[in-house]
Amino acid sequence: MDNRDWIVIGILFAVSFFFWTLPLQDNHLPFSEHDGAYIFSYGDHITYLGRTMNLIGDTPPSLGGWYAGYNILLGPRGIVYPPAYNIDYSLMQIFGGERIVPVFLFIAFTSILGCISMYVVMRKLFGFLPAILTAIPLMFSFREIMSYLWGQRHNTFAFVFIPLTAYSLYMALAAFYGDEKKKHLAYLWLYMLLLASSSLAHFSATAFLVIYSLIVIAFFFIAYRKLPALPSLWKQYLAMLGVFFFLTWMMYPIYFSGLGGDSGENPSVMAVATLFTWIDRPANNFGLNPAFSEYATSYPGYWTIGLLMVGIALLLFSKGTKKYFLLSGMVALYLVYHFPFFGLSTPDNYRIARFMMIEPYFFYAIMGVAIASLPRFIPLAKRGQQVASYALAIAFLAVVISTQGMQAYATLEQSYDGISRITPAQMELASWIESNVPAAEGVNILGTISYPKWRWIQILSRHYATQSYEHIGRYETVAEVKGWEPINSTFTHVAFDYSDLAAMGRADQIQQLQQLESQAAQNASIVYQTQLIRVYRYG
Amino acid sequence: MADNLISQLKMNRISIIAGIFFFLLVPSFFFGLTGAKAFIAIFLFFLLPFFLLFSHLPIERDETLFFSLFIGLVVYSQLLWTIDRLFHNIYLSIAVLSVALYGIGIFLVYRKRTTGS
Repeated sequence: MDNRDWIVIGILFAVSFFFWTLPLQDNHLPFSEHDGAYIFSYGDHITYLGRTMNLIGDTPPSLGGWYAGYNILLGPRGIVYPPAYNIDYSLMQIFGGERIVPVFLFIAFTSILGCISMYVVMRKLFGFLPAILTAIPLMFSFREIMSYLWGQRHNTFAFVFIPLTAYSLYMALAAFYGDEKKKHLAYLWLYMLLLASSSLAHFSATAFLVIYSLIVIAFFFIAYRKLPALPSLWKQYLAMLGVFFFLTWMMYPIYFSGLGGDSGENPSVMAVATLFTWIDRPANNFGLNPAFSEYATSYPGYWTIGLLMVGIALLLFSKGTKKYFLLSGMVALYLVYHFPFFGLSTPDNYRIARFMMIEPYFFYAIMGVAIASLPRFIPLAKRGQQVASYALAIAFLAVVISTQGMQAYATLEQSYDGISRITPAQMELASWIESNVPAAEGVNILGTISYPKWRWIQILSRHYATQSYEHIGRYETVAEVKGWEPINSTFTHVAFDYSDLAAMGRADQIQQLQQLESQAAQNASIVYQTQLIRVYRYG
Repeated sequence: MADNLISQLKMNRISIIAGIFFFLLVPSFFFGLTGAKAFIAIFLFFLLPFFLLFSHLPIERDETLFFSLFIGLVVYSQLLWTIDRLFHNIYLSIAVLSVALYGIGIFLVYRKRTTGS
């Protein structure tokens, strides 16, 4: 890569950073659905403790029975993710000196690494034009943006490892068959470390990468009729396996001793006919917003399928091994989309949909190859073909920016505005709870409009919280814990939060809440009072 | 040592400084000092120690940069967790791990410069 590439990478970084931090630029309070709050609590708890968490019995008390009972070996308070990603949050908090913004900057930065790494990889393998044609659309990758906004942090983070991991394996194989033993080993070590890293981030990336790896190895094996391993290197291979297991040993009890909380509702496998489709979207769209899995939201139009087909055809008929890098991705995607057919998942499992975040990496890369290559078939001088390539590329990018770019901007700019995320008043409430409510006691938060918001209050207050309109007063509840002794929670405080309802002008709901508050006022004492939020304590 | 790294990256000193400055400038433009500190942390914890460690590998230096960042993002914290089983103090563990990683990395760069291997 030359200075031109560094300028492009700088621009990619600056523009994508601007886009992906749009939800944070005017409002420094946290945003996401409840998953994001849950994940945030782990890193936040590490900073609070001043040490990293043990595997067992060390999760944030604020989580209570939330997702508990998931793991047979680690118990209801065993950690549910390998610790590395959560520790990253803590490092950001410690070094950034703030609780929220540094973590969210880290989340945004790691989410945009996919487009930057695809630029690097495509530049190395296919040249400047395909690289830029891949990276710019990926800045606006709608599926990644949605996952980022919703808060599926581990998944989004893990998938950005795919381009570089795939590239390191490709380079290891290319070096092996090119008789460059030192390079082969270097890339293989890097591949192992990246595979371990992606596994520690989220296992779905590993599932994809293992399948991808087998396919790309098979392609090379078919091409060279020789296995890509040397008996004389057995010590190196053994050392790699040793380092891999040293780094990842704790992920096995975390990932593989769950009680099957992930199974879909429909146990039937896919019909054979679905093998002839690219992906079989169930009627419920995997339980997600349909926009996530629709082709039209992730690509500028259905006409790009033609471009994709041209790209695949060009790759199939091209010489050399570089095509294996992209074609293996397509085959691996097809296989993970069809996991239900092989009995490895259920047709409506949302985890199948999450693999769709990987798809734009390969689709846009193949489209980029097609656009850069097509003018070669025009009967023009080489210079004329080059001009035609750039003209096509500019036209394609103009369409992408005017459709995907505008969509990404609108989505990120409008996300979690106003009261759709935790407000300063609610943040203040969380801080008060943290400082004034005994650690063993929980808070019933009434009036706050959405499930993710009171979950955020719960996490930020470092206390277990609920939202129960049936139990106004001191009460105890038992969390649903599968296969383990139940977790008791005692709620002594009730918060009446009128701030959201007042902002929405919901007079009738305010009146209902006031009636509940007047009941509470007879039996409890007021301990916190602002203009729109009051907290009562029951004895 | 710095000259060696710069020459390995095939970029001149001004480009390197401009690159790092830009990497810190963009977040600080939008988020002030907090933005700069967050990206200094990313640079110091995740990128630089692994860049030093991998600088002796027979691969292109620009590749080393990206491999270091990605691997550092997880492996640094995973090693930190492992060390913290011993110390139960994240600050002490950060110090010990950073000294170890930077120490080994600088040694490898020094050895490469002096012996070429």
